[in-house]
Amino acid sequence: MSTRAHRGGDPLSFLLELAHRMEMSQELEPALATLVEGLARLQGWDAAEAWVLESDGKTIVPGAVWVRDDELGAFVREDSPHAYLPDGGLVRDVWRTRTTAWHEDLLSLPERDFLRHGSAERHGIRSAALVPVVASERTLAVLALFSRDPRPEDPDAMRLARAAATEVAWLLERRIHARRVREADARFELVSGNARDIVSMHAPDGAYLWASPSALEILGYRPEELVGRMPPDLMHPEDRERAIGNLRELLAGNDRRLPRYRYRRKDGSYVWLESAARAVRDETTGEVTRLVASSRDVDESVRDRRALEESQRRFRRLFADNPLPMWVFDTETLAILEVNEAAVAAYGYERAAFLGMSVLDIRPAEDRPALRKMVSSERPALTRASGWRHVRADGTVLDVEIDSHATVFNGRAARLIVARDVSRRRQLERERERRSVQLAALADAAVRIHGAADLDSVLQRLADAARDVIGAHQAIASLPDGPTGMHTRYRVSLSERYAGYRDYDGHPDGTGIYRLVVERRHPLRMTQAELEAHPAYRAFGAEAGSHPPLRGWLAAPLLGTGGEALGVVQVSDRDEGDFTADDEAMLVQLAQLASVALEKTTLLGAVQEQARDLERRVGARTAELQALNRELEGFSYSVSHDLRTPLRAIDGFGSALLEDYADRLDAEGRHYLERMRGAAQHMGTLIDDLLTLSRVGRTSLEPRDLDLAELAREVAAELREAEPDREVALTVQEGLPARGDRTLLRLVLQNLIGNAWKFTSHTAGARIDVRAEQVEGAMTYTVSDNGAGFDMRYVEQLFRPFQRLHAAADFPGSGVGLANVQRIVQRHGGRVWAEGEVDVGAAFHFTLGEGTR
Amino acid sequence: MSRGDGAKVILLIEDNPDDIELTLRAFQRAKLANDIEVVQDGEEALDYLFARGPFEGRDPGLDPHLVLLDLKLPKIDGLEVLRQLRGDARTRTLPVVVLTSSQEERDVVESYRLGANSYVRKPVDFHEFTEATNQLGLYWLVLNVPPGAG
Repeated sequence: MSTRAHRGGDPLSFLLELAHRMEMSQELEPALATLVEGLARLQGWDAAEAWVLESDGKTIVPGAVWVRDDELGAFVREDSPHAYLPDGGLVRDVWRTRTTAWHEDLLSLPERDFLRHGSAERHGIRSAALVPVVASERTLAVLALFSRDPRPEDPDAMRLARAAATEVAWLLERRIHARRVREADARFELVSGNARDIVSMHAPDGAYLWASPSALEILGYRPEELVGRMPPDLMHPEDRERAIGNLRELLAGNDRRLPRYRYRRKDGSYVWLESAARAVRDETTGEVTRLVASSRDVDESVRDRRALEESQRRFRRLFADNPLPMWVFDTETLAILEVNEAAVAAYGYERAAFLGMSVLDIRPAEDRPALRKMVSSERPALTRASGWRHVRADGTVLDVEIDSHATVFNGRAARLIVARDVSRRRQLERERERRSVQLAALADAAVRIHGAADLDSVLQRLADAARDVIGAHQAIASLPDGPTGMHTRYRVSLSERYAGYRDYDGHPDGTGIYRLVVERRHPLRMTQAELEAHPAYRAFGAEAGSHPPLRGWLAAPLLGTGGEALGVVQVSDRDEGDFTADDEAMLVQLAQLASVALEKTTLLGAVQEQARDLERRVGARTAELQALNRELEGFSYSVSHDLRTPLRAIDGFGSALLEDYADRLDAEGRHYLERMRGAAQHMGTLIDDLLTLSRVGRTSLEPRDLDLAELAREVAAELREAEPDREVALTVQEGLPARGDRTLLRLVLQNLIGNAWKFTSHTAGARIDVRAEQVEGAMTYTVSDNGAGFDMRYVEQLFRPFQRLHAAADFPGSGVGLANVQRIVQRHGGRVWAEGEVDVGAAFHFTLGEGTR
Repeated sequence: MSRGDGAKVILLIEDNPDDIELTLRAFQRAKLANDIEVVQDGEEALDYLFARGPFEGRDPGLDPHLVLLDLKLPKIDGLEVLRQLRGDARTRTLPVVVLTSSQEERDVVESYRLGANSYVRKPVDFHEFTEATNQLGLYWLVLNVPPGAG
C-alpha cells in the first residue's frame, strides 16, 4: 500500500495542478472532486467522500463518493447513494471543530456498527482521515479519506491535505463571493478582482517559476516574462527588505501571511498587491521545495484604472448604442470628434460627413454667433440648455434640448452633447401660445364685430377678425343677398402676401364648395390636397387668374338663432401648417359672434327704418297739423274781426234807433230793440270766449315761478272794482307758489274766482276762499265759495264748453269759462275737479304738472 | 266832408260802411267838432296821407291830426299802412290809433311795435264804443300836444 501511496507524484505538482484546475472551476463540488481525487492519488487512499451541507443548510450529506478501481487504476465516482460514514459523530465532530481527525482502526470505534452498512464494509475500509475544508472560519465541507489497510496517523499527509483543502476553500470562497457579487450586480457584469489574481509558483529562493495569465493585466508582464525573476526586484525599493524578511519567515514555516507590497508594473507605475504565500515542503525531508503564492491587487489606482476602463467600456456602450443622438466635440476647435448612430440616423448626415463638421455647421446660420459666444465662455461641467436649433442634412430645422458634459476625449478637452428633439413639444407650445393669442384676438374681435353698424361692416370685421384670429392670409365673409340666394354681399380680407389681389371682386354666386357649409350648416376643414380632391370643389371657373390661389381651406356657417344659415365665413392660407381643430373651433366661435351681430344689425336696421318711417309720418302729420293750425288761426282771426263787426252794427244801429227814434217807438218796440242789442252783445261775449278757448289751445306756454296768491288778489281787486257794491268776504292764503304761464293761470283764477263771485251774487254773507295744500305730494289749489253750488249729478258737464247748469237770467255767462280752465290746467300737466252742493256752495280744485310746478 | 277851416282833421281808414257810419255817429255823439276824412282801403289811405295819386295837390289844410286805422283793409292792410306812415318823415310823428275788431295779441303787439300810439278794440256794445271814441278824441285831439306843435 505504501508504494502505492506515492504513486500519484509529488505534492507540489499536485498543488500546482490543483491551482490550475481551480482556475477553471468555480463550483464547490467539482473543486472538491479535484481535491479528493488528487489527495487520494497522491497519498494512496482507497476511497474518499466529500461531505457537504444539504441545501436546507442543516443536514450534512456525502455529496460525492469516490472508490479506487484497481482494474482501471483510477478513482471512480460511486453511483451508490450509500456513504461509508453514516450521519453521525465522526463527520459532525470534524465539521464542528474544524480540526483534522485520524482513525487508524475504524473497527475499534464504539460506533463501528456503521461499517456494516454501505460501501465501507463492502470495500473493507479500515482506516480513515477526516479533513475539514474551512474558509473564513466557516466549514464548507469535510473530506473523508479511507484506507483498506490499517494506516497509522501521518501528520505530513494530514498537513498537506489540510493545506490543499484550505487552498481550495480559500479559492472557492473567493469564487463564491465573486459569484455573489456578480449575481448581485449582473447588469454591469462586475468581475471580481479575484478572478484576475496572480497565482504564482516560486523556487525556494523566490524566483518565479510560473505565473497565471492574469499577471499581464495586473503587472503588465506576460507570465513567461516573469519566470526567473525575483519578486523583490519587481517591488518598490522601500518594500524589498520587508519582502525578503517575510520570505525568510515563510521558509521557516510560518505560512499564510498576507503582506502587501508595491510592485512596479512594466509601464513603471506601482501597484499594491496582497499576497498569500505558502512554502511547499518535501514530504520526507521537510525542505521547502516550492513557494506558492496568490496575489491580488489592492491598489486603489489600479482599481481606479479598472473602474475607468470599465467606465470607458460602459461609456462606449452607452454612447454607441444610445437611442439619443450624441456627439463629442472639441471645445477648442469645435470639430465633432465622435458621433453615435442615433445622431447619424436622426440628422441624416453620413458618419464621415458628420465627423468632418463642426458644431457650428449643424446650426442655422443665424444661431451661430450665439453658439460661438457660448462655447467661448466658461461653462459648468454639466449644462442643460433649451431653445437651440439644429439643421438636418435635408435642411429641416429641429428645436432641440441639449445636455452638455465636459469630458476629455483622446486627450482633448471636449464636450459630450446629448440632443433631444423637442420640435414637436415646441410646436405644441407654439400652438398653445398661438391659441392664447387667438383667444385674446377673439375677445377683441367680439367687441369690434358687435360695434359694427351695418351688415357690410359686420362682414368686413368678421373677415378681418377671422384672418387675425386664425392667423391666415385670406378670409371672406359672405351673405346671400336678394331673392336669388347668390352671395353677392361679401367682404374680403387679404394679407400683404395677397396685396396684388386687393381689388379682387369675386362675385361669389353661392355655388362654390362653401355651399356645402351653408347647406349642412356645419364647418368644413381641408388641406389643399383634400380641397382639390373634393367632388364639390370647382376651382375658380371664370375667375381663374383673378382669384387669389388657395392653400388649405376652413369654412364655418353663420347661423341664425333659429339655426338657419345666414351666410358663411371662409379662410385660407394659414401662416404655418394646416388648419387645426382649434382653428375650426375658433372660426365657429367667430361665426357665432358674427351671426348674433348680423341678426342684431338686421333687427337694428329694421327698428331704425321703422323709427325713420315714424319720424316721417310724425313730420307729415305735424306739417298737416301746422297747416290746420294756421287755417284755424286764420279762421279765428276772421271770426274775431269779421263776426263781431255785424254784431256791432246790429247793436250800434239798434242803439241809434233807440236814441234817434225813441219817440216813434212804443215801449214794446223799445223792448224788442233792447233784446236785439242784448242778443248781439251776448254773441259778442260768446265769440270772445270761443276765441280765448281756441287761443289757449294754440299758444305756447311760458312757464315761470309765480305766486298764485298775488294773481288771485289782482283778480279780486278787479272784481271789486267792477262791482264795488258787492260785499264778499274773499280770503286768499298767503303765498301760493306755482310754476306756469302767468297769463293763462291768471285766466284760470279769473274764471274760478269770477265764477265764485258770480254764483254768490244771490248769497247773503258771501265767502270766497282761495288756498292750497299738499295732497299726496302734489300742490292742490282750491277756490271755494258758499254760493249757489251745483248738483253733483251734473259735475261731468261742468267743464264742457257751452254747458251751463244755471239759467242765464240768474247767472249770465257763456259756459266756456270752465272749459278754458280745464284746457289750461291740462296744458300744464295737471287736472281740475269740482265739488258742490246746491245752495251750499262749490269748490274747484286744480293741480299743476310736475314739469310746470 | 267839409273843408277844414282850422279844425283838426281826423283820417278814418275803414272799409266797413257800418263801422264808418257808427264811428262817425260816435264822434258826433261825443261832440268832437272835427273834420273826419274817410278812406276805404290801404292804398287810398296812403295816397291821401302823402297827397298823391287821386289826392295829388289836395289842400294841405286837410293833413290829419289823428289817424284811426282799421287793420283789416282791402289792397294794403292796416299794418303795412302803419309801417309806411312811420317810414316817412312827414308822418312819423302823426298819432295813429289802431281801431279794430281784432283782439288777437299778435295784432296788438305788432301794432305797437310798428309805432301805433294806441290800440282800441271796437266793442260790440255801441255805448262802450262811443265811450271809447270819446276818450280817444279827448286825449289825442285835445290833450295831446304833437311834437311839432310844441
